[in-house]
Amino acid sequence: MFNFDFTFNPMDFITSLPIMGKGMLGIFLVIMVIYVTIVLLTKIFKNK
Amino acid sequence: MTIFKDLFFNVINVDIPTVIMWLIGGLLIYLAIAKDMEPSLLLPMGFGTILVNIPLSGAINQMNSAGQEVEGAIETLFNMGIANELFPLILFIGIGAMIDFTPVLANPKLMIFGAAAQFGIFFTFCLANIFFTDLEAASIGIIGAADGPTAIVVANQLLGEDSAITGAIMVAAYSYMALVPIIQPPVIKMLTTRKERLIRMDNKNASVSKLTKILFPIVVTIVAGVVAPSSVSLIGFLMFGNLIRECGVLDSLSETAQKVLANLITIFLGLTIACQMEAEKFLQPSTLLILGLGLFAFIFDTAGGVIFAKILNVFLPKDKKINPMIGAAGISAFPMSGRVVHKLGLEEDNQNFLLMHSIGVNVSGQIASVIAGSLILSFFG
Repeated sequence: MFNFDFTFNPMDFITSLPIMGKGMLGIFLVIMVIYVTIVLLTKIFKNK
Repeated sequence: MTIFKDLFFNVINVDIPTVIMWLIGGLLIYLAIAKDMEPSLLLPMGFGTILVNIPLSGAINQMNSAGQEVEGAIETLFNMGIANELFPLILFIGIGAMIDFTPVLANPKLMIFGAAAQFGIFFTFCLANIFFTDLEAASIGIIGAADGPTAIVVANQLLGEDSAITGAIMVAAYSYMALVPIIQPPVIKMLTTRKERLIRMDNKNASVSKLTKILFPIVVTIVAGVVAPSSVSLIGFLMFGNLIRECGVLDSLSETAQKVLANLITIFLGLTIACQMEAEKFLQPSTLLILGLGLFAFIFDTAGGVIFAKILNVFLPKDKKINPMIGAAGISAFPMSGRVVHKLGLEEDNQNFLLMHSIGVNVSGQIASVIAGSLILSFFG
């Protein structure tokens, strides 16, 4: 019943590092855009 | 004798894998009741696991003696609610309605820690790629989102509901969320000095206008949606729930989304996920590997947030230092992770109240984890 069909390729760790970089960069960029937007919103619509 | 044969014919179908799955179901129920670990999910999941692993169970699709397929109730629910991602997305409306984004709106700098604490997702993706295909590795990495609905949506979209590893991914995602109070403290303590854990942070509260709170979910949906359009439903449903909460004119809808809707979907979700826990699919060596990689994802998420805060501290003036423990709350797992960090702060110094900051980072982590899921779908979907 066991289906032990996965492979073991340590080099795949290295080859997938660029995706990690792209993903982390993507998250930081989106978060920075949201951050700037929040700061602007807070400044424009601050409680008087 | 014939009566006994008719009544107990199914007993001969009980084999060792079936019994193991019953024990796993029992363990989930035990953790839910005795240890109070995510009981709203682990209990239905545990019971569902027993339900689908009864030989010739009517809860899942079976062939009758005439060779025709008879539809099972749990499998019908699975096809209606999980295979098309409907349940997790609807649950997001409830989660969005539960979250108060005020702490992060009052101190938006905290958002950066939410981003840093997604490191575990991508690091685990790289690790998982050693053993699995790209799509499988990406689905395993998303366990680190510490967010069940996101894990379900990403795994389903990338692998399809028939994949042998979807069940293990879902179980890992929910089980580790429940284990956040056990996983995070040792990692945080290992990476910080006592001096760092004693750092007090400014607790003054900036006020946030109602209009900002209303515009926030709309803006986040547009920004995240433009970056990752294929998965706009993920962030959109979360933010829609939050808009209902903050608009101020839909209190009864907000209350329904937070309580009735979220509870109803949680019941169905937990029971239905068990559809993926059939012995044949679940009792595989790959399941153990996925559980191990999921644990790595949570550990590296925590480490990512803490180490990022420590790096920031190098550049900050002495009186503006950040308590690096709050970085760990960026893992998502709202609100448990925020509370864990607050509790750790109090253990070191009973006058050090980190809750506002840790919850701020925690809700940022919720947004960042959904964005991470969206990006993964954009890369591989």
